[in-house]
Amino acid sequence: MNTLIKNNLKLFFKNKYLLSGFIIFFIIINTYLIEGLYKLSIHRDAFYYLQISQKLSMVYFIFFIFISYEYLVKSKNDFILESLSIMDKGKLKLYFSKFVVLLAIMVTVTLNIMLYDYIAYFAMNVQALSFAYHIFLNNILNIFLVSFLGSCIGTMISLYVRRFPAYLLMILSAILISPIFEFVPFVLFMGFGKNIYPFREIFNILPPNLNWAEEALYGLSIEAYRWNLVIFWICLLSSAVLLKLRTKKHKLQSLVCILLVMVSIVNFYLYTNPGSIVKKDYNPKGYTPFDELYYTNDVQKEENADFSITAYNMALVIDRQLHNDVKIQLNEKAPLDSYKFTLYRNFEVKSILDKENKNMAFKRDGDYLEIFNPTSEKLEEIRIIYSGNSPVFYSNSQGVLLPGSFPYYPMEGYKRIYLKEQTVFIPIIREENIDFDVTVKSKLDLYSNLNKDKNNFSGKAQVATLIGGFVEEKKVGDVAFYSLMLSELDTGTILQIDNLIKPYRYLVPEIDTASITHKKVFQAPHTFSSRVLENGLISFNDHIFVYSLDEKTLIYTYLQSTVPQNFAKNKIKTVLFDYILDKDRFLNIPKEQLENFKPYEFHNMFLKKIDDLGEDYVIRATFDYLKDKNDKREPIAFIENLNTGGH
Amino acid sequence: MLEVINLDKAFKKKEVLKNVSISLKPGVYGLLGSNGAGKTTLIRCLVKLYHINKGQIQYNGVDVIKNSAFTENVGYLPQKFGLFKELTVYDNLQYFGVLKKIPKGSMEASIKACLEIVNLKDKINDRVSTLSGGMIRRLGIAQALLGEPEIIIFDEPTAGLDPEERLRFKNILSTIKENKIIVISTHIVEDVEACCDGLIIMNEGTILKEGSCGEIIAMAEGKVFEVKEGTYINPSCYIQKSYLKNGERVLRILSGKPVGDKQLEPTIEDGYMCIMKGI
Repeated sequence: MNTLIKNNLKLFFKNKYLLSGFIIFFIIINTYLIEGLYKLSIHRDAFYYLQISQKLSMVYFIFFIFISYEYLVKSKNDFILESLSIMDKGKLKLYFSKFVVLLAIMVTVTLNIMLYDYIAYFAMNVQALSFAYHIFLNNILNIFLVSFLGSCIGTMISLYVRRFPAYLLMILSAILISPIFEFVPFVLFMGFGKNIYPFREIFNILPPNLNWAEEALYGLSIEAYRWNLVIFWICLLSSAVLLKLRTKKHKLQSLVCILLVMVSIVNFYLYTNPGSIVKKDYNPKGYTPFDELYYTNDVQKEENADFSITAYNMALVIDRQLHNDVKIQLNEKAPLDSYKFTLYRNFEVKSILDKENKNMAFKRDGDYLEIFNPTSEKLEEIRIIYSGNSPVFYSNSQGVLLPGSFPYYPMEGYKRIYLKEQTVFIPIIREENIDFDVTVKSKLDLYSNLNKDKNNFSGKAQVATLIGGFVEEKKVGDVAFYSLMLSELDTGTILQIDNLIKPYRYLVPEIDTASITHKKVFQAPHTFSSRVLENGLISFNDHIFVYSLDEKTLIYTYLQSTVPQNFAKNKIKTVLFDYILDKDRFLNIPKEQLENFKPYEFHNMFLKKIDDLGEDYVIRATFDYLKDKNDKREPIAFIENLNTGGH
Repeated sequence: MLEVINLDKAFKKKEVLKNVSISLKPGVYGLLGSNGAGKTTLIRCLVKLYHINKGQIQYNGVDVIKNSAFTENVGYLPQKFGLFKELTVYDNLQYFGVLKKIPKGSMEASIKACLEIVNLKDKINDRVSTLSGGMIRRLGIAQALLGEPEIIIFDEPTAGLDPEERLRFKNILSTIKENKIIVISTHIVEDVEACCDGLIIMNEGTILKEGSCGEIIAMAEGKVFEVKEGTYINPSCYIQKSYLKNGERVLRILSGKPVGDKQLEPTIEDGYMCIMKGI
């Protein structure tokens, strides 16, 4: 076999068309990668480099379809097949040895791209073995397996189809998997309401999200479903190739053929059950439209619960998606007919049990869950078993982004969770602390606002946040900072936070050094800051989310933690903090804009009050208004009624 | 001995071979027949490229279907034969040698021996792309000879070759024929005349006649006549050829009844045509 492989290698590199094709391909990819290295000196981001390098996936796919076809069809064109076919497995050995040559080329050019990725890795001094492994997996999936699939298509076409239809088929394959083709389902869906995304997705073997902002917590998409899809195609096409090459009397070959089909079917089934994935396209089930389309309709409810929750005991399993078996301890003043909760709609409830493990009836209406009490007594405890995922707040073996402000576990009452005008999620922040005891089974090392003991998280808190992926815990002074390894921030400001807050202490005397340093700081990934209200700047009693560590962001986040969560007062809150943190910019808004531009209506009113009543008075009064839970006035009513001598 | 017993082969509904039976002992056999007679199909059945619908092919009494090692004993030159043009003569033969499971140690010697037979030893390191069509055919013969098979099958080996190459082919045959069963499929009768021990004549998927060259010639005994052009000829007669003789154009006629007054000595081609035309 070695001699055959050696001769086939000679055959490849001595054929001027194959050789020139290879040289052109080699020059193109290396020029692109070297240019990327040059740009690396500007971006200084190994993750960004990995992202741009994986865009070559398409080039590899096309190259290997055509090169494999041309290389393998040569045996047909050279009229050598018939004389070889009479020999024991002659044709099979010929194709196999040629495929080994293609495989060697695939490995070489995959190593080529991997080499550049690792140069970027070392040049940027990433120092994260998990990312080094991520680079490896990406190149295996997006470059090697995609090339392998291209080769399978080329091989199959060379065996089954004549030259002209062969070229048509190869061009069609390239178009079908190309990102260019994405406009077809997009146009059909947006223009005509026809959803052909599921059919298009079957051909979507290239890495997604490469033209979107990087998700530093998650890395690039290498979810299990993508492996399943590419393995499905490879096995299916390989079985078709083997079917053509096998000799009927060889039972082993038939067996391998059947085995390949079976593996293909299993992988197809798994592909159709992807679980939690991060796919930033316009697929109605994807990252952007899934919630945007759903919340366009008037589906949200608000209703306070007649009970409170005193403790959660959660047993989470995070594999392809989230599975939760949660026991909720309730505090009811009196027995209730039904118990109302908010739980994100894409978590499917399997069963709900009372404290004696008896099933209870429930009603699901989008994000809202109503559980009916079959008895006339207090339930005291409810057990809910569910699983599911969110396209935004992911939870799988690659990454976990489960902020406690998102109802990935049932929260008491009906709550609005989405602001359709801004297409962002509204964080839910419970005011009081309750007991959490969370056990998680996950491949990832997770971090939480709760106290960690191996895979158990517990403690008293408003919410339970879980984060996993490319994140590491760093101690910055006394502050625990959860930093995204692939998007590191300068942590100097965290050391200065006490001094930075000082000028505002008169407003928030309750903030002292201890209350600052005990808060864990989580660096928010892009998904979080772009899909959560106020760029994802959330403050809880024990932790905060920030997308950057600049002074203004930190001060704002710490200060707003003293203000209760009240979405209705958001407009005045924004204006107040704009004024406090960026007074110069605020005062430099042109008068014409202030008076005539609708978004500046509040700014204008606020400034007028400052002119009339004095800065100190207006700021204090506004802060008091924001802090006062019992003050139910609309912001506009508050500001209009703001006068000296009592507000 | 290679035996074909009541062989049927059909492609979908089209019957290509019908109840074909032949026995081949060591020697050279010419498989004659017009285009579409079923020669290539029969050959492909012999080398197990086609599955047979009915009947059996036996070699030394063993069904070749059940004998997976059978094809290791067969050298085959197909009608359309090519080689990897980018590789050298040696590399190409090595390719075949590996698939024929020739031991690594004796590979080079086997290749050189085969090239010696086909008179291409001096081209051993030349690229195939530099060889002529005739040389590539000879290389095809060399690859068929590799591994010293007991059965060698040539499908239309001389098609498209110039007279010199055809003569060379006959010489090669005489060199290799000892103790081997060699089958040469052709529709050019003169190619087999000099070198074949036996002839098999096929038409429309059946064997019309199997016998020695003498027996085939004997089929035309007393049926070959020469007449001047313009002489009345019965439509049942077959005009074998027309040629000039002493400045006059004459016709060579095959007929079951006497035509004219000049009877000629039959050739193998006359015998073949008599069989084909049922004269």
